[in-house]
Amino acid sequence: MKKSDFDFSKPIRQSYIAIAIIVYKTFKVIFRQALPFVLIFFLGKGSKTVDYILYPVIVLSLISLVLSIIGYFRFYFYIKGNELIVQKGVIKRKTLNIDFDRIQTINFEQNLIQQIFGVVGLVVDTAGSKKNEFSFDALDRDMAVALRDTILSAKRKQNTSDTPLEKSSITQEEESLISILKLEIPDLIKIGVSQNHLRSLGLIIAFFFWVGDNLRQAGINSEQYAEDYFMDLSNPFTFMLFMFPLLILVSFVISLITTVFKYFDLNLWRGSKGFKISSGLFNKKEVAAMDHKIQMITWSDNPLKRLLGIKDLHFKQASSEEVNSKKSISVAGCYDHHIQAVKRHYFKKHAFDHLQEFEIDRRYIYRQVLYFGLIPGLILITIPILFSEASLLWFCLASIFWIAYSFITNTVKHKKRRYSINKSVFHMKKGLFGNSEYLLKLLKIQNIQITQTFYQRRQQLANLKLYTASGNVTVPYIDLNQAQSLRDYLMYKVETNKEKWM
Amino acid sequence: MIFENQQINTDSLPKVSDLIFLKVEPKYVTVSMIASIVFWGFLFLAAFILKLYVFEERKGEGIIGGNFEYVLILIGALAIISTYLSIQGAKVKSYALRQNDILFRTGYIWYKEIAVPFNRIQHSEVVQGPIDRLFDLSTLKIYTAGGSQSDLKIPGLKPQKANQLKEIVTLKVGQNEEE
Repeated sequence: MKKSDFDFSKPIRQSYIAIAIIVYKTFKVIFRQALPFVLIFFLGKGSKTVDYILYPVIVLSLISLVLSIIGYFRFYFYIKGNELIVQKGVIKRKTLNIDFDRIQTINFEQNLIQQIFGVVGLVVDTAGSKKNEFSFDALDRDMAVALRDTILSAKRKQNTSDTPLEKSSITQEEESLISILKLEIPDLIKIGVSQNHLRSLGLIIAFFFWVGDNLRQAGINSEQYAEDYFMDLSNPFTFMLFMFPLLILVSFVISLITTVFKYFDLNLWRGSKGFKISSGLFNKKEVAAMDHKIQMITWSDNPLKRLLGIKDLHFKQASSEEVNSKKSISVAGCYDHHIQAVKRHYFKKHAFDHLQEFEIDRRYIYRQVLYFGLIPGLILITIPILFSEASLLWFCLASIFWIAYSFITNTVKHKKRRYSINKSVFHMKKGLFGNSEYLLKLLKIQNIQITQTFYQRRQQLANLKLYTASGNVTVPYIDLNQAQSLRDYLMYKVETNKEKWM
Repeated sequence: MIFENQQINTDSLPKVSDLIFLKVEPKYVTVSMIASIVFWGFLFLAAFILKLYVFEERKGEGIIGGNFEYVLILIGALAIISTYLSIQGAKVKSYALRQNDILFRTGYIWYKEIAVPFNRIQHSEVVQGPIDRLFDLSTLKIYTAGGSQSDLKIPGLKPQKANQLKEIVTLKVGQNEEE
């Protein structure tokens, strides 16, 4: 490794570009907070209430801006021994000593401004503390790389006698990386098209309600505006006819655009100890998912995605020893062979040998239909009986439809719910319209629960829940004996395994 | 279809179902009963005051206005059911300690059996609430990285017993880390 050209033993400030970043960040926060007021300002045209709100906002934002700029000049960092030392604080000076040992990963981030000026934001993820992240706003790229390498090489020297797992923190620039996935423009379009548009639609509707609510609070009648500028929306039929396709179109475009922003130039690489993912158009992100931090790998699709043959892959990570915040890294637009490649790299060679697959009990369907189909269906029928003006026929039809729907969906859910296990991995599949799969190493299991309802106890059935440091997997309605012997086996595997789970 | 494995015969594995589970202190049943009665008692009292001072004047207004007695009856019925269930639930609570893990049973309607291996425990503590202190009982809490849903809470232990269990757990966790 080349000797770094930077002297980190003396206190260093961040790049001057950091001021721009800080200003940008402050304004972003203020803008978000003040958006309703800004809208009011433009729509309300000088109503008195606006002055009372707007001026304090301006004053407060100026104060916070000045404070954050002073903050830049009071921010220093240097390396002393095996610690990264950071001094900061405007009024109250604060010194952070971050032991290299505690540094888990160092990730690079670049938003548009950082890209233009050729600087990077550095996110240092540490283990143990509540506030487990620490970030630099802007460092020259060379300096950032040098800093990362310095910390890593020091960490490595320190840990040569330790377990090999601990050495592994970050994928290196000079380390040979194997490319697994690279998204091209056609892939991006595929991903954008197959997003869950209903979710974006919901977000849009929520946004409109939020804006409308804020406007109403400020004494502006948004419906009046809508009528003036668009059309008479009082007729629900015309509303549906015009607005619904429009909203669908808008949500389609929005999810397409956000997909392009988020997954632009997505790359997934494999290093020797983990995966590296970089993506983003304006907000370039480079993150590492180390093997020892990954607790579970999941992938899922929906009917549209299945048609196109793509899946969303997620690396579920535990972020720190205390696991306050859970981290999941998503890789959209994976084909089957990409997932196979990820599996091949993450798991050991014979990890999938002798995998035995099981299904869950049929009584799952009966119970689900009873609770979510039959009982609500019967309640639906009682409505016309209690309130005589409602039509019995329609409610009966609705009820029958609901029960039938419930039966069909639960039959599909039962059929799709499968789990398989061997001596090193646990794999579960489930789904209704889409499919989801969960795959984890047995040693990542934190604890195991067997649960039973009254009914299940009578029927000698049980649910098996496996908890990991990044979510749990539930296998419902299996034979009690099966659940118990699985539990005994899994406990045995966890207890005899000497590998670290993180 | 029962799970089997080529390398290890599952029949030879240590079985949880053969274990003898130790029940928590019988006093704990009383404690849960009192806790439930106190909670529902306050709720009932609040509803009763509401009936006397608010709904009496508005008799006949709206749906609940005239029939507030039914709300009281409903609360009373729920109180009895809930108290009964918490008594039954307290009776189910039991634990077992093995060489490599700790197990806990809880839940009357929704039965749950939690198993935590010692080599996955983050830390443990003994806590005592106000009612606990009155009855000289303690709760042992064991945390794993599996999230708050999966933390183990063994209530109704004598403080001495709880501390003893905590020491055993700490010792076992320490041994695991040394290896």
